[in-house]
Order: sequence, then C-alpha cells, then structure tokens
Amino acid sequence: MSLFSKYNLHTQFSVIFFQKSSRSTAPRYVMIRRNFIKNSSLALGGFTLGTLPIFDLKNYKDIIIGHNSHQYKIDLNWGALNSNFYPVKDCHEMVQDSKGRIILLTNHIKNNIIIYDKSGQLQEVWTTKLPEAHGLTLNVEDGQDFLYITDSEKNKVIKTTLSGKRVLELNFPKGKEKYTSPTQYKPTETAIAENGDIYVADGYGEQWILHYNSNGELLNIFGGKEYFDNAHGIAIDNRDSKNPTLLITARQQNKLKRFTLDGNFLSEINLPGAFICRPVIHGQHVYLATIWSGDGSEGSGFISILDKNNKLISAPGGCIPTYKNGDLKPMYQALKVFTHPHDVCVDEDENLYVAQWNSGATYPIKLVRV
Amino acid sequence: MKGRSSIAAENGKIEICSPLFHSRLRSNYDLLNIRNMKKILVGLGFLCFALSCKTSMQLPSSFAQEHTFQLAKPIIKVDSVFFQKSATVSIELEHPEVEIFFVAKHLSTDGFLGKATAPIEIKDRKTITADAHHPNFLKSESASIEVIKINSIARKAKISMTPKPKAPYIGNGAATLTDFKKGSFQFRDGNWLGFASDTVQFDLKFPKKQSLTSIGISFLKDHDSWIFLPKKIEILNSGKIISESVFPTPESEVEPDFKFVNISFLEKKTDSISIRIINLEGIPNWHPGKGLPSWLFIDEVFFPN
Repeated sequence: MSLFSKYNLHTQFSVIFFQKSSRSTAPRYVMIRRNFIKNSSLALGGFTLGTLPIFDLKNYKDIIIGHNSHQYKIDLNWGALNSNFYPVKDCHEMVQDSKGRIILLTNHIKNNIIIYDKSGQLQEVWTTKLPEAHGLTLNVEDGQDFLYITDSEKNKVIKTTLSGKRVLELNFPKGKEKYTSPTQYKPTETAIAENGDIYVADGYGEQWILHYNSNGELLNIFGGKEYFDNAHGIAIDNRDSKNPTLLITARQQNKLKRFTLDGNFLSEINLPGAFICRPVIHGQHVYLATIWSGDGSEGSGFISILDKNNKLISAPGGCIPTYKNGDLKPMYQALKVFTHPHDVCVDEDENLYVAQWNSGATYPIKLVRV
Repeated sequence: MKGRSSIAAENGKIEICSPLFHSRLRSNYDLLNIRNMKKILVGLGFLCFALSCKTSMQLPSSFAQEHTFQLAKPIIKVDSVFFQKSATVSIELEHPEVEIFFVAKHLSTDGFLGKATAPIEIKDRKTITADAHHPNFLKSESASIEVIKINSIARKAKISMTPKPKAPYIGNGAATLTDFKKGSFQFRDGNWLGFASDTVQFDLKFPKKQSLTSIGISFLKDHDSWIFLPKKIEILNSGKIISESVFPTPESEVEPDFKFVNISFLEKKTDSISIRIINLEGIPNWHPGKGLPSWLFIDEVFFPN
C-alpha cells in the first residue's frame, strides 16, 4: 500500500505534488486547477495592491484647530527631549529671545531653563535651582536680553542674563503692611514697562500687584483680594502706544482686568468658562493659555485668542466662540488636544508654542499657523 | 470516481484527488471562463490602484493627523435638576460637524433616544446620557445627568440642622436644602452645606400631617477634596428608625460625582420626620487623609413625586 493510502482523504481540497510537467501532458483537471490558483492569486494581489492605498491614504490628513483667522496645525513632537537627560515636571512659561530661540521655564531643578531653536532642536540647558520656577518674562535692556523668573515657593523674583547669571533679586516686601511673612508672598508673573519698571503679580499669595523701579525699589502696591481671585498673570498692553496699561489675569473669575500703570482700575474683559493664565500680546492680538474651562474640571484646557477689540475670535481646542448681545457664551473644551495649557509663546511667524502644567511631564507643543 | 478519494499515478506523478473537487472544478471552469476572468480581475486591480492615485494623496506628515484626538464630552445643561412639572435639557458641543446622540431612561422604565438637535423636555425622573461623534475625531466619552421630579412638600417644612454646617460651606442655611437649586462640582458655589461631624441630623416639621412614602437626599462625592458619601442614613419618625440605607466604604478614589439617595418606607401620615446621616469613621486608608474626618456635602432634601 502506498504511503498516501493511509491518510483519510475525505476532504474537499486536493493535495497535489508532482514533477514539473508541460501544459500538453498534464491532466486537464490539473491544468485547470493550476491556472485557477494562479489567476486567483494574481487577481487578489492586484485587488489588494489597488485598494490598500485607498484606505491607507485616506487616514493621512492633518488636523486643523482654531477658528476664523487663527487656525493651526499641531506638531506634537516639536519640543520632545530625552527625559533621562532633560526631564521636566511642569512646563510653566515660554518666551522668545532676540536670536529667535524659544526659552522654556520648568520647575525641574535639573533644568529650569531649556532653550530650543524654532525647529525644536535643543540649544542650551541650565538651572537656577528654583523648585517652583513659575513666571518667565524676557526684556531687552540696552540691547541685552534679561529674564525675570518668579518662584512661588522661594517667595522671590530673580533677574538673570541669558546664561543664568543673577543680577537682581526681589524678595517679599518686608516692612510693608500688606505682608508680615515671606510665605504670604507667592509671585506668579512679572511685566516690565518701557522705562524698566517691574510689576510683580502675587497670584498665589495675597493678590497684590507690586510696582518696583528698575533698581528694585518698591514704588506702589495695589489690587489685592478686592479685585483678584488668583492674579495669575500680568502684561503691559502697548497696543495703544500713547496710553499703555496693565492687563492682569483674575483666573478664578475668568476675567482680564485693566489697570493704569499707577494702579487704578479701568475695566475688565469677561471670558466666562475660560480659566486664563497670562496675557501674551503679539501685534494686535492677545493670546492666553486657558488651563481649565467650563466648570473648571481637570484636563479641560484650550487656547484663547482675542482680537484688537478684545473679542475672543479663536479657541484652538475649545468650542466656537459665540457672542450674544455683546456677551461671550461660556466657553469649554471641545477637543481633547491640550490637558492644562499654562502659557503660550508667539513667534514672528505667529506660530504658537504651548507649555503645559500637570500634563504628565510632557514637552511643549507647537501650533503652526495655517 | 465514487465518493471516495482516489490515488492516481501517471507519468511519475502521484496525485490525490477528491471527487467533490473534480465536479466543482468542472463547473467553475464552465462558468468562469478562466482566461477572461483573469483579464477582468487583473484589470480591476489596476483600476483600483489608478483610482487611488487620483484621490488626494497625502503622505504622513509631522503634524497630528485625523482620528488622533478625542472629542470632549458634550455639555448637558438643564434648567433645573429638581423639577415639579418638567425639565428642559439641552445638549451641545459647539464644533463644526459634531453630532450628538442621547438616551433618556430611568432604571428599567421606558425611555427614549435620539439625536440632540433641540432642547428635550423631560417629565419624569430620568438619566440622560449623551456622546458626541465626528468623522475626523474619536468618539467622546459619555456625559450624563439625572433629573428628578419632586413635589413641594419639603418646602412646607421647617428644617432644623444638628450641627450647623461648617463655614465657609453654609450656603443659605436650612433654606439651601429646599431651594430646588443643584450644587455644582465647584463646591464653593454657595449651593452646598458642608459638615465635618460624626453625625448630621435634619429634623423636618410640617404645619400639618403629610402622607410620606420616601425621602431623598442629594450628596456630592469628591474624594480629592475629602468629600465622601456617608456610612449610613437612618429615617426616623417619632424617635424610631423606620428605614435606613447603608453605603459601602469606597476602596479607591473615584471621579467627582453627585449621588441622589432615595430611601423608601411604609406610608406614614405624619407632621414630622428626621434624617440622621452617619459619617464614615475617618477617611479610608488608601487616601492621603486616612483616618481624618471626612466631609459630608448636601445640597437638597426632597420628596420624589
């Protein structure tokens, strides 16, 4: 008995193996079967090759976020670094220096300052060993860039060169009736006027705005809890060059408040549902990282962009900004792009760099203007 | 060949065939006309490939692509969570091309579902669950809200609280419990009464006897803020416990949520009823505040309709 007869052959498919035979001598059914398999394989291969690209290509389309004139593509990998060497805890704030480099402030004491070029390549890293480095402002003075960094845990503001050399320190205003202890003073942000005067927002402390001259001498204290619940950010608004004012965040109140440079309240801009961090003014627009939204739930952030009339015109990651009878409808997150945006830096091409707090130690995201 | 597989040897070839295959192959050959079929199938394959070339061909870029991000949960708004006749619910997520679908039901009772294009009127106790869809984004997580039909009996009662709520969570005193206003997750919104004691008791005194069969209490649960549900709730009438509800001790942190507790009892015609809320015996061990007193946050006492 041959080897094959021992197998149970009640199957619907045949097994054929044979020596190579010519078309003319192979049995008819063998040839038919061979051709059928060959043709089917060829057709299947062609079909697969033809249709796969359709399904594949369909998925490759860049997402665009934002509204009206300010829309962006998202580069999630822009600032990514090796966390073994350049770790971050929270990315707090970002500025652009005179060389066009993007400077990131983190509260990781190994590298408080991380400097990138605009393409996201690492340029330089150094530290001030500040455990809660929070606010970062850059000011050009006599052609040189200086950084103003706040630390709410160390209760101070420091001024450094771009290489980290400290040139000025502003500690808590001892002897002033507003403060009795350094721990009351938890500065979150600074703004520098054209004449070099320094404004410090005590956003995590007593909510005062402290006004110093360029030598660090205290000139005025204003604001306080009467005006602010979390005076998180401050900026000089020079859009009306003849009449510069201060724009100060009241984050828990979802408002920007406008003051004169000598501390008189003028007006407020209401942004319901938007827990804004600090105003960044670029051209005629105001950019605000919005760390929470709606009812203030975790992970509900987006970006707010105001036009020259201080109307919210674009909210990348947020819902469509809508005004009714002059009032903005409460804002909220629509897309889960951002977790907790904490600051926005705007470059000369109006691209945005977004630093995030409490987002799993992630690096900044770049939004490219389209 | 008859029903069994056969072995054939021809010209040195060994071949094992089944008769079923032969009959099938013959009919295939007859029907398909393989030579033409080959041309058709190959041509089809190349046509598909050519068509794909005509579509907007885009190679993957360094930017985030479609289907990367998820939609946020839709926003559900209601004019009043506690209502007497009806509640109007609106669901939205203001983003172009978003579609929202919802389901409204309560336990095993009949409900209804649909696409949220206009405000929805609810006339009975319901939980409304909704999620958002968009062709370019991942489906959102579900959002939900419970709306409860109540009567106004509680507003007729004079309520005394023992102890009083602890500042700053004092709301508007006892009136907070019958104002039909739902507190939010921002527990400092003035709509919550906060207690940090072992036991809290509400004594309700009506001007005249009421026929009661159940009572409801609305709680906030926010473990991150040290706010927990109670261990037990007892309903008392004339000093006697007529019903109670026990809650399991939470074993881990959960997201903030509201809890509407309904406690039923045999019908009572009475002009007074008391609610005794027994707090946890300290925050659970898994929590950073383990062993310390937990908070009880209550915003409403109601009688379901």
